[in-house]
Amino acid sequence: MQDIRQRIAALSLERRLLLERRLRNRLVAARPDRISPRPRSDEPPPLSFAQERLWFLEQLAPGSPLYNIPAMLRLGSIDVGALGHSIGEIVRRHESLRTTFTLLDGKPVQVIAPPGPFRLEVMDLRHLRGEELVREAQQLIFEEGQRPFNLTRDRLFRSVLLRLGEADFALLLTMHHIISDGWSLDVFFRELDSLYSATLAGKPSPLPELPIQYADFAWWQRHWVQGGGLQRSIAYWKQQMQAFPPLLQLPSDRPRLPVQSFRGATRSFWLPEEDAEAIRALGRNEQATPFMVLLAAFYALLYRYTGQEDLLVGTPIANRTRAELEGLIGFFVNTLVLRTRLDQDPSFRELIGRVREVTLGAYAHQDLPFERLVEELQPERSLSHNPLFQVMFVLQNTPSPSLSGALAAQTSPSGEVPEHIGTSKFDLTLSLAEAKNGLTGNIEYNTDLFDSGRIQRMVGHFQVLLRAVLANPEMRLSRLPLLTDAERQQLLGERKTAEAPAPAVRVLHTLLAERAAAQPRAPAVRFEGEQLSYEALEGRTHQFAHYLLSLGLRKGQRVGVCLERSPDLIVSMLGIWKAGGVYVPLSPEYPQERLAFMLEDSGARLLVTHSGLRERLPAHSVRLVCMDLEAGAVASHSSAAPAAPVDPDDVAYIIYTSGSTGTPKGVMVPHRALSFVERAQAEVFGVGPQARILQFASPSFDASLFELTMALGSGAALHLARSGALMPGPELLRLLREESITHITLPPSALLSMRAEPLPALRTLIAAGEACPAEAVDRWAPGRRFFNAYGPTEAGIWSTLALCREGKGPPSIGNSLSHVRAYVLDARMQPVPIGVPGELYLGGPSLAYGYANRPDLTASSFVPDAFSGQPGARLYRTGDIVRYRPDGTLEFLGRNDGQVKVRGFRVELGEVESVLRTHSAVQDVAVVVQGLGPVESRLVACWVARSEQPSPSPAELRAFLRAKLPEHLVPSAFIQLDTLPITPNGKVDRRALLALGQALPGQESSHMAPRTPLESMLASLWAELLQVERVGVNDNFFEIGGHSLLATRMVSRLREILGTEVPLRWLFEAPTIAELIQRLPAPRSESEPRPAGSIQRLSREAHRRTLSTLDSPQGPPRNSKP
Amino acid sequence: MHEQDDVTVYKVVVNHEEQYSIWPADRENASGWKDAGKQGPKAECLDYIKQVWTDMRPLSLRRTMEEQPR
Repeated sequence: MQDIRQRIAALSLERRLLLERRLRNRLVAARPDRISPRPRSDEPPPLSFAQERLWFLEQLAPGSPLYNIPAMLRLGSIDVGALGHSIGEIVRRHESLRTTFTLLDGKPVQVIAPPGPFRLEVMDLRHLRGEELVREAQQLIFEEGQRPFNLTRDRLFRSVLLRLGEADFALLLTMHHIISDGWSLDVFFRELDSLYSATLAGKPSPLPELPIQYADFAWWQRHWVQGGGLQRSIAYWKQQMQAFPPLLQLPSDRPRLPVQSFRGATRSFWLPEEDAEAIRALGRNEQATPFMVLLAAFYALLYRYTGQEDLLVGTPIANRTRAELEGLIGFFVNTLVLRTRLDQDPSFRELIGRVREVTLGAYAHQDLPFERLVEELQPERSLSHNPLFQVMFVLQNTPSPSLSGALAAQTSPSGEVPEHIGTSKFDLTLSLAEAKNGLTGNIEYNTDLFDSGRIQRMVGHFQVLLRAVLANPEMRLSRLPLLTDAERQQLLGERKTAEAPAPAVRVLHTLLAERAAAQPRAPAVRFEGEQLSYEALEGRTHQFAHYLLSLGLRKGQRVGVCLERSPDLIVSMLGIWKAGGVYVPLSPEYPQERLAFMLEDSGARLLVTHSGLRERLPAHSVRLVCMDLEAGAVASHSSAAPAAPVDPDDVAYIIYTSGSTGTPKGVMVPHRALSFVERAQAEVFGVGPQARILQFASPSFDASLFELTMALGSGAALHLARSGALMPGPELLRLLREESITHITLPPSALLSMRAEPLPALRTLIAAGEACPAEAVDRWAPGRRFFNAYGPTEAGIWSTLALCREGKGPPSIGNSLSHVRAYVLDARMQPVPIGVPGELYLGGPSLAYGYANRPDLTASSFVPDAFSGQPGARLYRTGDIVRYRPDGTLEFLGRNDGQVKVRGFRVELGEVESVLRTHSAVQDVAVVVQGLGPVESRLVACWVARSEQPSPSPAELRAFLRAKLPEHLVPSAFIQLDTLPITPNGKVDRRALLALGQALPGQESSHMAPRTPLESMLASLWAELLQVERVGVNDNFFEIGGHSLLATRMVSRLREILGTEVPLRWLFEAPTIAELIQRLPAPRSESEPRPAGSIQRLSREAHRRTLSTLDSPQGPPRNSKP
Repeated sequence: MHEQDDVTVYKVVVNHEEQYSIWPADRENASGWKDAGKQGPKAECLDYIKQVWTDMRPLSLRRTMEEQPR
């Protein structure tokens, strides 16, 4: 036989489409390899592959209505007797409707009951009236559809006739999917129509006897497959699914449950006839079917939602490609996995072409049962999602059964549509159906993952996208619009206020002057019992400014400040500004090399420090100002304000942050940014002159400026302390208590490392610097106002704020401040919808100017703002992944690059890597963050040594890094590897490295032999089922060749042996012997005999198997899965 | 997100403050930005910017600074 693919490829496109349509809908003439009745035998017939899968799913979640197929037919004046007789005849004709399932030797088999008398159950509701009737009927309809079947005990077809009135009936049919499918329902209704007409007319059944039954098909399928009938299809699908992508990560409202519940709901929509016509027209132009066009639009939507370029979507296929199967009731429908690649940003027209090829290929190989494909591909097993694909697409282009006989006349138009039964088989199923005046659409979705609001928005996005591609199929996928007008208005238009001209801003130190005039005696700065009033602070600041000017400082020149927290730090900072200089904090904690770089890079002319810190400074050529030694000289200057005008546009400070290339980058921020921060603080925090604000942040981070503006802007006192007293824990708590601090800004990791104490004075707590977990809020929010603040240095310290309450789950980062514009954009800088992750871009007047001496980095980080309408405006791309919550607040989700926060510090992994790579013995290195949460996380360096060099110890590497990097950038663990693991696309496999880091404490040996009789028993049972030589107690069942059906068999054997219930799901949740054994009932005592016969039989079998494998010349089979 | 291997062709753009940036070449400039006359892969555009942009301060600030030498 010629290869079917070659034959199909040789056809013209029109013929291929015709073939496709025939493959999809009705088929094709009888084939030479016709299916005939199975040979008569006493052996019960096997299950088809599809049935086996459903049977297995039923064992996983028994008693679920998930696979019920309910249907309803509303009827007028009918003959109940004739109807019952007709249904009875259908049951007689179709073995499926009389089939149940049972286990025989651990394998499920079909049990077909002989035909018997049939009575149609009638429920008379005629005693009810009006609303009561409707309610009762609806309840009955719902319950009938929901009532689960027991596959072993129950007949899997139920019918009830509700009598609602004299000439008003509802026929309710419920079948289990294991014996039926959508096509079968059509068969049922067509037969019912013919039989009812004949019965009324007193004629015999006009229907010819069925040539074969479903069990014949199942028997044939088994033998055909064993005979290699599927080899061609298996080869096709294996090729097609090579390196298939993992989980489709649709943005969701809640994380995936470990075990999928299949709870679901639906949302319907409608596409008018003009859309339907445009779809058909585009299809004609592109030689594609409406199915392909709509599926392409669905792919485009999924792509825009997830950014994933390799997508798997399931679709049902009737799979009745043989004439002898056409008239059967039974479970034939197969699921095809359609894999389409959306790489290279194709136009929609191009995408249709790709979808056409994928679809035609799949149709030509539709005979491979989905369950066999799953077994072939062995995807990672999980109960949390469906294997291979998570979303389904359905287009119903065959209208529901057209009845033409006597029953048709009595069919009332109120529809045979069954009630939705509250389940969802997949994460999401998009179904469209051709209707009289357009297309009806329906999304069935998993309610554990998605809220109805999200699905409603998704429907809107699908329609916007679809209409755009219908109007212009040349559009590239990345450029397709998604947002509805209302959403555009909400996400892009709501920041109109930010475009209003900003009121005149005043620089911070003029505010200080006002405060000094208004409240001269009030404390401005407190430090270890020392206190500076506003007047004194103002005076000292002026003296210092004059002193700097006397040393030749000119406007715009940079001044390094290397000081611990002290009043001198505040005086120097403000003095530099008063003199028109630029403040450049240099942490005394930093290694000399880093300080040297910062001094050089910033071009500082002066360096302010204390004599005690001089030895920590690198060699330099700048003029040193020792505030303690030169105090006398400073004090000799005037305490009147210097005449150095400072403009809001002037650069106020340069703060160095971690840079991915190995050198820190200096962010240049104008005075304006501080003014906006101060103004926003006054609006929201309600700080007054009585407030006591702790200066907690290290002076080298801009959070310290946040604390400074909060205090000086409102005339409050800024409390300073030595770093020892600020250690999160008892020390910090004591400080807060003793100084009655009212306002504090802390990283969440610091909050989490302290017990919450009643601190009555502490009224306002601001979490900042890293993602804030719910626990921090729950612990610290009671009794005070708790804010979560967010903002990168590049956007002027602070950009968004949320007020948080305990018990509300992970806090958002809130809304952007009134002067800040925030946009959530995709990789092509287009707005993403509410609920969909994107990168946060920030704009507005408080943006930094850029990175000192780094034009390339500045140009790629500060990009044109296409949304505000302000000419020439820029946006800072934060690299932070966020999404809008439905309430309009922003939720922080993570980083999109190597930048991470470890214990509140901003860390560029690339920086640590590139410094470590400069070590002569290090050939390559990758640094990963291990552990979740701000407290537990730590840096782990995985490195490869140069072969010619002796390997340095972790301590040596740590010392090497300490000389070059601040402590928070030094990894806490070093793992030496032979090579770095690489992903298929050539990148360092960070996930593998993480796993490595987790295994660090105790490396486990790969094989662990059974230790108890029960473990040995399980190990030999597994070895037998999996046909492997030995099984260790830590081997994962599914990684050593196990699959779902073997799992069922294993569990049923275990039930027999132990004589107790062993749910199948245990094996998924505990897939190793060591884990599984924890769940098994403890034997009463080790010596007490268990059901001896079973164990004996087992060990004999196992023994026999061992012998036979020893006999085989090739040695033991390794992993016998084909 | 989508950004695995950036194959976008960019152009160098500049605003009235002589601040440089990059922008996808096939897209219309944002308001107030004009082409600086360079187009190519991201790295090339950024190299070009390294050559032409030497002071990160906005033009207006540079001018004020020059006007008031002290």
